[in-house]
Amino acid sequence: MSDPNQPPRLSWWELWPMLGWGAFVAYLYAKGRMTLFLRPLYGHLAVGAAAVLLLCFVCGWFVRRRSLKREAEDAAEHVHNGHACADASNAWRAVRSLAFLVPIVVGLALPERGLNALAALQRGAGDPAMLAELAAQQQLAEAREEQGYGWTTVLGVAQRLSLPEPQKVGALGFVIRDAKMPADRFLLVRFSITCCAADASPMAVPVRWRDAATLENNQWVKVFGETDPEAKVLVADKVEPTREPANPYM
Amino acid sequence: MSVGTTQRMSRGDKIKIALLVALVAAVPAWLVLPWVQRCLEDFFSEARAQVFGQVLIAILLEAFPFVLAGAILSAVIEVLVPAEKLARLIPKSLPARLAVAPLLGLIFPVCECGVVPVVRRLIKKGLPLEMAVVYLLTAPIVNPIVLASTALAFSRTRLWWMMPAARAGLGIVVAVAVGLVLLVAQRRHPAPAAPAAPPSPCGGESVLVHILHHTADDFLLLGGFLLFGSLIAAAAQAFVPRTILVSIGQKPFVASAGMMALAFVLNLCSEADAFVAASFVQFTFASKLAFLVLGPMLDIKLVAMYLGALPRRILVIVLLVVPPLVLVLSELVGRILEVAG
Repeated sequence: MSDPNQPPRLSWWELWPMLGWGAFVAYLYAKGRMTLFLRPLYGHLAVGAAAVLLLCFVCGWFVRRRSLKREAEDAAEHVHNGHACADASNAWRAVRSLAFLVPIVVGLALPERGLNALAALQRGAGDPAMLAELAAQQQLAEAREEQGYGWTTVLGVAQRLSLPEPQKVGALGFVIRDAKMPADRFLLVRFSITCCAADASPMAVPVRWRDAATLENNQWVKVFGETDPEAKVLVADKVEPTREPANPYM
Repeated sequence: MSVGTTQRMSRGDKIKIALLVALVAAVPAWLVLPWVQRCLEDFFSEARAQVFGQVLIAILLEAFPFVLAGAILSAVIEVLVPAEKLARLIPKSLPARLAVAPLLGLIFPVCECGVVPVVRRLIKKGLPLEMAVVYLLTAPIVNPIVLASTALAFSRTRLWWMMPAARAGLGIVVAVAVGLVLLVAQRRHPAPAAPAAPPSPCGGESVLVHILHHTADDFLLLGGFLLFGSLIAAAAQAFVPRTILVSIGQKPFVASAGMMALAFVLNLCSEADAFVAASFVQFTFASKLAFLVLGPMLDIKLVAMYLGALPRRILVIVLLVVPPLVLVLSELVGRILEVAG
């Protein structure tokens, strides 16, 4: 029987998920991969929480060592200082503790890239009504001069498609090519997120380019061209392949 | 030498055995792990598996700081707030209890993930179930940050101010109705009396140790349920296209039911869901309202977390009462506001 005045001993099953999950989040943050899942603000919040978890692990480790010295044997159930410590069988503890391995393994095996074309299509990319609403929700995105075009975001291009006069614009995004599309069309896509990838909404601008068939799904490109207000399409003058940005979302 | 000392291994022996096991395991691990890693990387480079993995990690990364904060708050309540003090703070009359519970969400604004460990602990400390459930259901809706983000998301629409007001109002009405149903159910089939809550006095350095212990326990328990719910939610996002759910139809009730199904599947944070709802321009005000009221109360990951926090009977009542109430009332409120607007 353990001494009721002794502090409770933390089991290894309680300690390792703190270490494992805390270290995993810190790793994602250090490798700059947090932006593949979260908006930067939430990334900082997650790494702060990971620091708290690691601190809890360190404290718990010292408490455990001290308790091990004091206790001759581990009691499966005990009461200390008048309130009952939560208890679960060791087997259940082990199962729920090892379950924390699943997201760590998945997270480490994932490719270093943002949400893909499949997710964009499943979430309604190419729906003009959705695009118009997303474009209308925000102020007109700014454009800066680059190669004689107004360099802006996919959202900025979508907003300029509704202007009556043609605009010379450029934007960065990834490609969606669908078999149903004409050979000279593709969608230039960028996800917009509020908190995390689960709420990401795709912004997709239709682009007309004679060599569109040479492009592959998920390929990141810079597109420069002129808006066609009547056809609501960006007519591309040039399309430059490029690398996926560190933060693939808007 | 006594029998006890011969049977127990010395520390040095334990270290030797551990080193031997590590050495024996290292060789196959060195050979197998790169192969396992390649297989996993190949698997997750497939488009659908990638969406599944990314949504899973995103939901967990977003939710775990709030679950941890809830677990710490819950541990502080367990160790530092005696049950008898909590009992003194609870209003005696039923109307007062049901009126106070939604206001707790304004005073202690927490999101839907953070509130679960707190409510679990408060129930253990003796908070009446109907009050706990009303707080659980309203806290993520009447949260000022959530209402501000709702107003912002709908700021371009004609009914922009009505959406946050209707969301908060309907959320409170539904939660209080659930509280009343729970009360009736408990009177008909009273639950066995809970064991008297033990006093929780800890003093000196052990207070922190006790808080640490309870934090770890709550985080592990509810984190496990969060993980379970997130796995299902990520699979739903990877395999059920949003476009199917929103193409169900735009007729009254059918549209709202479709949007409620979407809210259940998407598992959005209540601070972000209004922006997603606002993007469904082709849908009625009522169906968006249903989406925004149901989502913070019930979604896949929340139901999984409720499994670890609420008695099963209470969870069944919540699951049976909340969706039909949200459906009918959001249609009613939507019609009234559209006519008035």
